[in-house]
Amino acid sequence: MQCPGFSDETYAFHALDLLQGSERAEIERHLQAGCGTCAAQMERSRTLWYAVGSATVQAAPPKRLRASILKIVTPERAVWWRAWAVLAAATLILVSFTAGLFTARVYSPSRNFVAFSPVYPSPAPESRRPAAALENAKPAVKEIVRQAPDPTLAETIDSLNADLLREIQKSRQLEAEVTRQKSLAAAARDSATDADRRFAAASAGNRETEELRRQMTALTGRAGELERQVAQYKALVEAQRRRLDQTTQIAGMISDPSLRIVQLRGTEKDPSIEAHAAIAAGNRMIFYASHLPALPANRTYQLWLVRSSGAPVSSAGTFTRDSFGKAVLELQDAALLSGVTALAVTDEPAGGSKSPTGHKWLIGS
Amino acid sequence: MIPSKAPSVEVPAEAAAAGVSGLALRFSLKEPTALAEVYDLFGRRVFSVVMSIVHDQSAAEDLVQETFVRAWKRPFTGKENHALGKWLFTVARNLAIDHIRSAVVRMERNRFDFGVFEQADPLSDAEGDMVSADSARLVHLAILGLTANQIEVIRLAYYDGLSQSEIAKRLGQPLGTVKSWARSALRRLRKSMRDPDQYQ
Repeated sequence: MQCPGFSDETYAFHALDLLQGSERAEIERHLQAGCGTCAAQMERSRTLWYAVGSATVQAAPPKRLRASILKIVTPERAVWWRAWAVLAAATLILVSFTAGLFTARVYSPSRNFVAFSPVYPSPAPESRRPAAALENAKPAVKEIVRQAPDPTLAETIDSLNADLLREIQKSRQLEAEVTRQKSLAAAARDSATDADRRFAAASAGNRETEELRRQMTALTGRAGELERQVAQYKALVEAQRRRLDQTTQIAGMISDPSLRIVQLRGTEKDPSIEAHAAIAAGNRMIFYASHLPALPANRTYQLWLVRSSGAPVSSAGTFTRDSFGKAVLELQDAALLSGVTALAVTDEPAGGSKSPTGHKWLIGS
Repeated sequence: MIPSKAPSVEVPAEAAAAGVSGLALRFSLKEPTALAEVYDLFGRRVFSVVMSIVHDQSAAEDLVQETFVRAWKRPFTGKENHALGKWLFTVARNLAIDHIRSAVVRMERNRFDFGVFEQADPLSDAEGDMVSADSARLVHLAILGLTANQIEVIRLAYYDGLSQSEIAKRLGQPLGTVKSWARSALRRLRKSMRDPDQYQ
């Protein structure tokens, strides 16, 4: 539900303070009049941009930035705050005690604590926006290979999305399982230590000795088994995390102004194969392929970089498809990626070749 | 979640059950250690957004500092960590866009040194903010599914601060075409977050 005349992108651009003229005046009028629909749509747009912002490729702030931000809190303020907190706590105890004496009043969180009204700063007045000057600005975004909408890729992304949701849930379950197994292992170890102590205390030849020794061996074995399980779960969680990070990184390059996307098409061998390569800053490439057919056991896929100068064709490595026919290859090598004009994929003997010898499966420039 | 380092402020059980975040509350109460925790949770992501806009480390540091000073000085009453995050991202981006709109900066902007980027675990500091970490991953994937034109519209709007008519001029396309690219891109990103309302 939205106000007549306002579309999704109107709200989205206003959330970025990028509306102009009558459109801007109109939406501002609605918001100032307290229009609930507009307020909700604006909040929805801010959430979307927050997620887009969180997807920005990560840069490391210097340590000095943290230190200088923390200077906002002066030691005097900290002392003042502590004094205030003690006073507030004392008052609270006194008030609760007094209130408890006279009435069984129920604490109401909504009234006392959830006073949520995020106030966003007013957008800059339009007069301050040097829009005309911007028109002459040099494009900051460099050439991107234009491509038609790609329904196959869109479908792939939808299925990746569903996979990812499942993986996130699985990761959380695995982490919970690791915690549970860890406490079981700790309990088993404690029991083993306890049995050990009792064994030592028991006198030689005591009838209990053999039984205690047996118990101790069993418990130690159980603890070792549980610890092995914990290690296995940890490895699983780690593998899940790596997969998530890999998919995250692919599109994390979005904010890189030098990003170039090369689309590869399946050759007549199999036109249904799809692949994309994203090259950023001339030194980083992520190659993503789908619908790859299975190769015989002694063959492997190999990615080739075609260059205008120097060595014309170089290997970017071999790769295998997963059970869904997908493959992801990451490469970070400025020398290898400089001046790349085209990419191709062939099948080669296991271990790869020095130069392409097999069938060409994919090509793109 | 973020461990509470300040036992002096106890969030009442009823308030916690109502979804009140201890950190956002302590931050709005100006509890001194909350500032460090909020910086550790959001600082790197906020810095990354600003850096992607201004492409100048020293300016980015000043703008991020200004963002946190403003956040600290205002009477923030958010109930969730990600509500605070949304506010920080909005203010930081606005400050950064204002910054690049000055002519002098624009001329120097293309001299960006990529060496300032580290190859670090993306989103690693977002763990205390699972909502945005998960939705950012989904949005990441959705971005992959956009066409190059749709990506460019989103990028020019978010990181370059261009309006739809400015984008149309920049790309040499009719305004209607840019609006339609923007609409389809936003629809796709929204769809990836399933129900964006649940993140609010």
